[in-house]
Amino acid sequence: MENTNDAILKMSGINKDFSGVQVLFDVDFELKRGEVHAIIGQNGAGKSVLMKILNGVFPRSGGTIEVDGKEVNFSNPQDASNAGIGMIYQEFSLIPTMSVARNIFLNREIKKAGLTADSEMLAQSKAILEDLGVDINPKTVLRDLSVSHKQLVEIGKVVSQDKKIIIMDEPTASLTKGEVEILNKVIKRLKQKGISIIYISHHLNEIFDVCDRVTVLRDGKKILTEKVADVDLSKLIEAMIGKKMASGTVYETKYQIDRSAPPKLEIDDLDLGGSQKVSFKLWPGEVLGLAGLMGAGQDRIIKAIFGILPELEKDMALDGKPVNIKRPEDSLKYKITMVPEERQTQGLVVDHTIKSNINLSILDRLKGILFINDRKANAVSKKYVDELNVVTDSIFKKVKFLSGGNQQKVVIAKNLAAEPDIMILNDPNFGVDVGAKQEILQLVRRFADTGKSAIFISSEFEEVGQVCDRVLVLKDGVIVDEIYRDKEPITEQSLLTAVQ
Amino acid sequence: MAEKKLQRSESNTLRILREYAIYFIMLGIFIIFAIFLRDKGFLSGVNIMNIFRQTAMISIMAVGFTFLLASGEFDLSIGSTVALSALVGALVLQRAGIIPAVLAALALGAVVGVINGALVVKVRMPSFLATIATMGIIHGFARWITHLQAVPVTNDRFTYIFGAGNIGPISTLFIWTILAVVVGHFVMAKTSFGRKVLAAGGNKTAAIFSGINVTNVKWLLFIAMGMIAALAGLLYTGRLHAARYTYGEADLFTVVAAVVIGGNSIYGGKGTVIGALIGSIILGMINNGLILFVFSLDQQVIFRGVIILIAVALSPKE
Repeated sequence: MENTNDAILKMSGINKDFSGVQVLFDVDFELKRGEVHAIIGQNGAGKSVLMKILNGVFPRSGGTIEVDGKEVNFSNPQDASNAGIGMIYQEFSLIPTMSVARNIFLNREIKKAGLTADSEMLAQSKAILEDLGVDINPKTVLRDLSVSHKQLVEIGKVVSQDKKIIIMDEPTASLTKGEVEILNKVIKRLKQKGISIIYISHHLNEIFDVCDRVTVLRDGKKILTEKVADVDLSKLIEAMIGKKMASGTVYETKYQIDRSAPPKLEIDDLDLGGSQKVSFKLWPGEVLGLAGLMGAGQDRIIKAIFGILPELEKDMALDGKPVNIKRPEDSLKYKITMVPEERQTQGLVVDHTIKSNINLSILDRLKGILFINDRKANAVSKKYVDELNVVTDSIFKKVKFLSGGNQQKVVIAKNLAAEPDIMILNDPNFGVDVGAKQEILQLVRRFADTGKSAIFISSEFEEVGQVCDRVLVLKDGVIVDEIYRDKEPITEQSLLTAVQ
Repeated sequence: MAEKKLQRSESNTLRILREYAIYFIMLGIFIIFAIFLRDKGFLSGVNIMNIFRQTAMISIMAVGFTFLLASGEFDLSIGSTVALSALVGALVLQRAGIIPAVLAALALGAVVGVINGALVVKVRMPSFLATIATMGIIHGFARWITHLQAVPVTNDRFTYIFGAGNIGPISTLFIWTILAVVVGHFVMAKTSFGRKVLAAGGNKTAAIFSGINVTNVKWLLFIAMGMIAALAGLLYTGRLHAARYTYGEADLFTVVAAVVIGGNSIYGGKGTVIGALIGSIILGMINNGLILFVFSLDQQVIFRGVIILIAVALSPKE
């Protein structure tokens, strides 16, 4: 067996298929001792599958993995952990009701005479956190920490376990700028100790700050591995999205948008905690896109509008009249609806039928003197099921038996049934099959073309380009750019570059 | 693929069986008792009406409880509310007329509901804990208000309306039961309020996002539950011509059993009022049968516990 003595990890020809659908094709990946190696790619490019194979979560369908020159086969994360591979999860693996110290030593407590040595663990936790350069009291109960401090504790926990390889999955997603610098220092310190790091991020600029090399994945294939000094941002973006420039159909605007007329919605001085407050207008017939990296503030804007985060201060006006929306109930009264991010937990009652889900927002309208007019309720449900082409044998089917795409159509049907003037869509195509995706995009466009307004967020920038008339680009809670479809084409590439 | 489909349809049949199992069980028990207790008069009109009379208060409270459970909440204080409102109603009845007495009892139930509801939706206590606490408090008041003394009721019109009277062969208790079940059933199945209750219990977030005021819906349910418990208290008072602090003591247990046996999920999002009525009747029949079989009271209590365990084991899981 060949032993490359400076490679701590060598993954060769990794293949993976999920019940016949191939998601990784002969991917090679090599990590050197003391190297920080970035893996980047669009959603679905195969980053997380590759990391889950490395971490023993999924078995691979083909290829070999060598750690320290020895071939390994991990069947669970514990195996990977024993072999010196640690993973810092995006969703934290911490217990909210326990102190920082107890979390750091969870399941590997220091014991004296069979009893946990709490003061010893406190002292060591303190040392670990100080070594990272962060000021957190190890006695603090975890749920009292800010999200970013939790993330730093998570890093501390993994770092303290003497790992040879640490996988960081979007480590900066919840960190402020200052905290990102702390993290960068931590990474440099780990490098000096000879620890290797796999760094996954959508923030491409960060890669140039901390990484030595970068590997780009696209559609399950490795596109390139280069030293970061030898590439620039545009080369990386090109590698990520490939040459398929005009790939998705652009759904043309049919409504004559008049931006000199009074706007439908006006938001002024919305404070997202950035250096400037956010103000914008929304006109009839428009699909307004909000684009930004995770945590840039787009989701907080819509939550502020819809009344989920009423504590975010703003001035809001509908048709020129000031309104104060304190809860989602108010939004519905003002004819604003939302297709939320999580269709199963926020959009639907999955144990109930298609009909009762579609009727949910309009119960009072369906009411006769006393009872619900069942004929009307059926008619409304049937109408939207047909109009949105929901694939089902009846409107009495429970929503949980529908596919993701059809479930999402039911959510949209529920919104449309409420006859909104403004529909907010938060990543409506997440986990939706390809065909349904295009149908949903068309629905959004058709809705706006009747003179209504939509606000659209998507984790796929390509889709933003397909439907939006105008895009606000956000960075750290501030609008940094505004792109108009009628002035320049809105493409995946232009947005990916703009949000960095 | 074909195999998967087969499994699906199998579980569908199972689900349908489960859905209607309750009716078969009721029928089965009825037939068994009708055969084995033939000589002891199980089938006599008097005995059948007796079963309804004995289960009336349980059935009526089960209607309210079905709503609460469907919205994902509990009210453990119903038993002590029965007692306190019975005593308050009887005391007012001694000094004033029927209408003030009824209003006083219902108002008391409403106040209990307002407090229970506020603790749950405003103070955000789990309803399980909040109503355990209020149960104790109300029970204390019920013992204290007359120093454990019973309050006799001599107003014949009151006792006639509230449980002791008969219209022909039909007990007024039976009429109250039918009234509660019919109203409950239609509110649950046919009104927008019913849908809101089910949505609140099925997925609170989705309900809120759909513009439903979940807070108010739940609060209203607690108030209704308190008032229904008060009505049950009045019915006990009328039927037994007196109010006592012991009324309703064992009812919580039986009401929960009836609602769950009737096919309601303790996880919320489902609600069948008719099922709850049938659950209540099944329990009533079993009770009646056990008495006719001459089981002791202790044995009856044990038996009922076993029945609840079986019912919950059979009910759909998350």
